[in-house]
Amino acid sequence: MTKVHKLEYPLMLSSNVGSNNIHMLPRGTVLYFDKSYPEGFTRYKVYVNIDRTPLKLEELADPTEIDPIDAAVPSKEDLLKLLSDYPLTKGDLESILNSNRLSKEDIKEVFGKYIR
Amino acid sequence: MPSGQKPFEATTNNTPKSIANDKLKPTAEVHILVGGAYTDSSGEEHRYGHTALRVKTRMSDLTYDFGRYGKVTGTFGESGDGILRVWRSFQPYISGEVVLQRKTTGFVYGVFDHEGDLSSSYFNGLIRSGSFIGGKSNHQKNVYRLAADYHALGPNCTTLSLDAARQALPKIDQGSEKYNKPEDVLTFTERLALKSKGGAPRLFLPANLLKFLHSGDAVKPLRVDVYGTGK
Repeated sequence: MTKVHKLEYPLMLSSNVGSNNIHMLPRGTVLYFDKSYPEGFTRYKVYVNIDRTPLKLEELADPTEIDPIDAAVPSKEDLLKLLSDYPLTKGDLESILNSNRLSKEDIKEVFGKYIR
Repeated sequence: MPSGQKPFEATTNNTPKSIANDKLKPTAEVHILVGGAYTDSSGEEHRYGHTALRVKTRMSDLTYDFGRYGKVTGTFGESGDGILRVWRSFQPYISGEVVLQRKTTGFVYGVFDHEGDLSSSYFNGLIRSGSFIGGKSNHQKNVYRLAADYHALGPNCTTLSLDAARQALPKIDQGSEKYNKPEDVLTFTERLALKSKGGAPRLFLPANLLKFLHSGDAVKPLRVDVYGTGK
């Protein structure tokens, strides 16, 4: 049976292609469980509809090859960058703060920079 | 020379602590970090484990973490790009392990700064032959694709960590051969895959490494640190 998770908070995206811009996987995205690895990461599938944009396809030389991108919960430093450079909604911000991946000290430090 | 002192005249050293003792006290540490089994969110248990190496000198504190953090290939996803993540501080690395409810055992060995640097230099050599992945690097870690690909049976997290640790601790894996027991950890299918590859001539499984480092056959660590819960 397929197991899924609906994202409760947005995740930061990164790939082999460097970028100065922030890219995020939005809250509410459904992740389809694929496989976990001994290293400690889990791979999920995301289905994407691309509307009326035919894309050129090529054969995958090795049918077993999978080339994923990375997604991670925003860290303290990411949150600082998000607040200054990204159109973060109030809901997104609340969900990140409720993710339990940032300590109270981290949150105090981030908002200490805004509340003077 | 203090005024009034004659050339070549002996002076008394008033340092309260012995200089000889200071020179003999290790100034750096090499931590072999062995992550145990964990159960993923689908309920599947992963018994293979994960190994990383922390090198802590007076100048730096880096954790080297090698794995399939990129393109993955093979019927069982057993191989892929050899990705080395170099964590600039230990906390984010170990927090990630603890979140998995995986127990990480850190075997800590006292060394001198120049010996710790030998382990780091080993990794730096691999990094120079590889390529920096700026898109996946951030304030917490630098990410590199090494020239050699990863394979679950080696080169993997354990063989690379041991190769680097051996630069500082030449006898670190001496006597480990008899602990190379894949049947303790691998599933039947994985063992078949190992057999088809001709077996593994050296210890490559984190769980086997854990048993070896805990044994009386291994170099005695300065101390053993335990992080997280779990097996």
